[in-house]
Amino acid sequence: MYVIIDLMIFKFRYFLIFLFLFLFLFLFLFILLSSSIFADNSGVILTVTVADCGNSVVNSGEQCDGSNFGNFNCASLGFNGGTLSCNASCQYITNSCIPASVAYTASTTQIMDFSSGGDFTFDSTNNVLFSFPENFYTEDLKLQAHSYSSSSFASEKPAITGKNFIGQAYDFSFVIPSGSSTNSQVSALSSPVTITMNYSDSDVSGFSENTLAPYRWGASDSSWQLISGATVDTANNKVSFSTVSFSSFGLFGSPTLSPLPSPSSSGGGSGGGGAINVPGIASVIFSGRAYPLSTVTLLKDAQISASTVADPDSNFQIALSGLSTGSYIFSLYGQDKNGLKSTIFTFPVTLTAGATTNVSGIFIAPTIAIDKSEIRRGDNLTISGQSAPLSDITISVNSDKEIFVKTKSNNSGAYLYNFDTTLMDYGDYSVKSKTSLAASISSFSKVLSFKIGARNVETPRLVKKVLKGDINNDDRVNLIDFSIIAYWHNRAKPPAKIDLNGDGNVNLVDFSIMAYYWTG
Amino acid sequence: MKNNNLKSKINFYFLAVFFSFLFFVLRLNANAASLNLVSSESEIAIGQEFQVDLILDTDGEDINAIEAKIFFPEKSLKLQEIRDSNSIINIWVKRPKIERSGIIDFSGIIPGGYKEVEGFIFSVIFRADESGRGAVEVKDAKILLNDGKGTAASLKISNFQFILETEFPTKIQISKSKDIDSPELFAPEIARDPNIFDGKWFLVFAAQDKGSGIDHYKVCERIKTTCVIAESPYVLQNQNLDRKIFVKAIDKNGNERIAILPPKSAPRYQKWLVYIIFGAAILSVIILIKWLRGLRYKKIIR
Repeated sequence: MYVIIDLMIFKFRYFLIFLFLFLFLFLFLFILLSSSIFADNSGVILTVTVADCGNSVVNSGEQCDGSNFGNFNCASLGFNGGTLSCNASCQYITNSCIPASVAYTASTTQIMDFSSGGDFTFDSTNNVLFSFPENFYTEDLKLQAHSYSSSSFASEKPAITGKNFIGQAYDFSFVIPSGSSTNSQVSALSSPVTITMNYSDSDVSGFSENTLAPYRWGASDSSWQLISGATVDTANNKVSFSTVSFSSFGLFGSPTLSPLPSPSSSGGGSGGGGAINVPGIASVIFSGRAYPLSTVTLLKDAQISASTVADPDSNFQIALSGLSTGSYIFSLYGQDKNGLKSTIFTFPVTLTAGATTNVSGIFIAPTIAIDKSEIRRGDNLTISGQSAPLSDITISVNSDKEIFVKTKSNNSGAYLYNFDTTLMDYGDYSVKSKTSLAASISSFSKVLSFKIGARNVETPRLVKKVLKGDINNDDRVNLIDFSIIAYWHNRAKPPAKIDLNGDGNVNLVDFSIMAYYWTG
Repeated sequence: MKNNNLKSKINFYFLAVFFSFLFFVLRLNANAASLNLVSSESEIAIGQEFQVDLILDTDGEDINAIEAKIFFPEKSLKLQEIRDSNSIINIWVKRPKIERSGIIDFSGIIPGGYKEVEGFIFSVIFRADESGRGAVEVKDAKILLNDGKGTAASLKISNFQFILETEFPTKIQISKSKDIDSPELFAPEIARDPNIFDGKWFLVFAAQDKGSGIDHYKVCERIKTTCVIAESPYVLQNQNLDRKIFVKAIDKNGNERIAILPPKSAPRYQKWLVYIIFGAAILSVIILIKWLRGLRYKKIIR
């Protein structure tokens, strides 16, 4: 037995030696490959001594020379923008290139006329204005501009200690657009370009605005460098500076010493709400009444854009900033404490550049529920829901003729009305409600159906009610459900769940039903 | 005499009934929503570009779905461009495009409904090519009420009549869009459903661009540089969902907006890496124990 173990240990030693040799060889090859110092043809590995390094010409064995990058830049080397530089051995330094893992949120390229100069705005939602002087270089240049979310950018270029990114981070570079040096990166311009970066009120929320300053990423020392001579216009939320060197840029600020009071209504990336008087950017503020502590959801062009919680008096406010100018369809709906959703309140708004549009006086329709889907004639039907506190609720019960009854909501906005069916005829009915408070009147709630008959059929309370059009049962009617229905558009034999009106076809009628129940 | 009286009475009743009927019909029409094709000029010079807008006037009705076809004489008009940015249609079932020569087909929905008087749907830019008279017409149109049942609304159509002549003065200026803004932020979603694509994971996305309008989308599943032009819904190639997905919305001026979806599960190679490291650690411990035992055995022998 001991002999076997001894033999194993003996063999194991050989195994270890082999393993170390293998690792050593692997490491050696790896270092050599990463340094790119293989000789051309002979197959013999040797270090190349670059005699011509420093003559501004990319010779054999050189990747770059001074400001000559041999038609390459970070992007063409597979990076996601950034600034390439060259070391004393005429090899690329890619420390300031941004890896592909850091995705940009917007990107553009623009060829600038060197002789006439001019202005160029990058990504109006983030809004960076470039002002080029005449003859800013000796030939036309292509500006490559990228913006990044500061959180993902910080993984590559961390924020300065004690400071935070304000808004987005950017990377700007210039390359030769054509000719023999196409795509070659330009290290510096002949004349400084003025850059104006804009930030929103929400960007500086929680930060001391007077500590705001622009910084440039230094390629040589891999750190943020303060750009001197910058102008910070806190009234108009602008920071301007001039520079001839381009790299990554960011605005940094220090947090305020005492925390700001938390906003009563903000969410989903919204907030702030102050005007940003910058061409190309628009803001909009929605305010009104819903139900106490209810969730109010805002849709922008049919997709959820923000949500907030109404205060105990049922007031809410949602602000959206950094929007492009143009026409939007905004929609709002409320969800009460029992999870019931109101009808959608939809309105078109055209936003103009540099202005804040206020949409006030919105009164979200009340929610409504009934306790029975069929009621025995003579019994009471309980109609309940939620709206603004201490408001007048008008309930409409409709069949051949419309009957209106009134009640009042309590301090929490809840209302309940026992509707006596004694004097009603047998048949099918619908019920809806609306609210009035002071001079404001809401639109009608959803319409619910019930029947007056010979028996009572309770409306199930515990079973989650699936919205019509909610094909995937996620309690939302949105683009996913639309896509599923669109797949079956004009196809034969659609599943019953998808054919919303049950006519054997998926057509515009099914899409209309889905649009009615839409939640975003 | 009596006959004359009778005739005049019959005429009177006939006229009364006729005008009542006419009044009733006119009233009915007055309450209908309308789809109108409008342009700033109807007399257009040959070679001139001009714009025709399709506008919805709901006349107080709450509308949430529209479909129609636009017919135009392809001999005299050359289609240059369709502009649908700023449309009241948020979700297109069929984005407006040439279905077959001389016909633009579209359909879409407005979730939550729309009841304004000047709802811009889209514009068509034409170039006048041949002299003559003609019309751009709306046909097979259908608009539906936002009532949860898809009830058809009554509809009036107003077509655009034009005259094309060489000698007409050139006076229309088509605004060329100088869109430098990226499309709006958007949030693609991953889903799967047994009713489509055999239950495979798919991606849905819809972006808005208020400048020049969305031109196309690209989906990149491996790295951001290997992308394919895609339409929503898009069946994902990587059903393991273990890699980031990049969705690019590109507008008609080439500006792009990228949305990134993080992987839903760890990449397969990462899982294997964990297994290998774990296995190697266990193996190392076993070897170390055996080694120590071997040393102890040698000591005992000595």
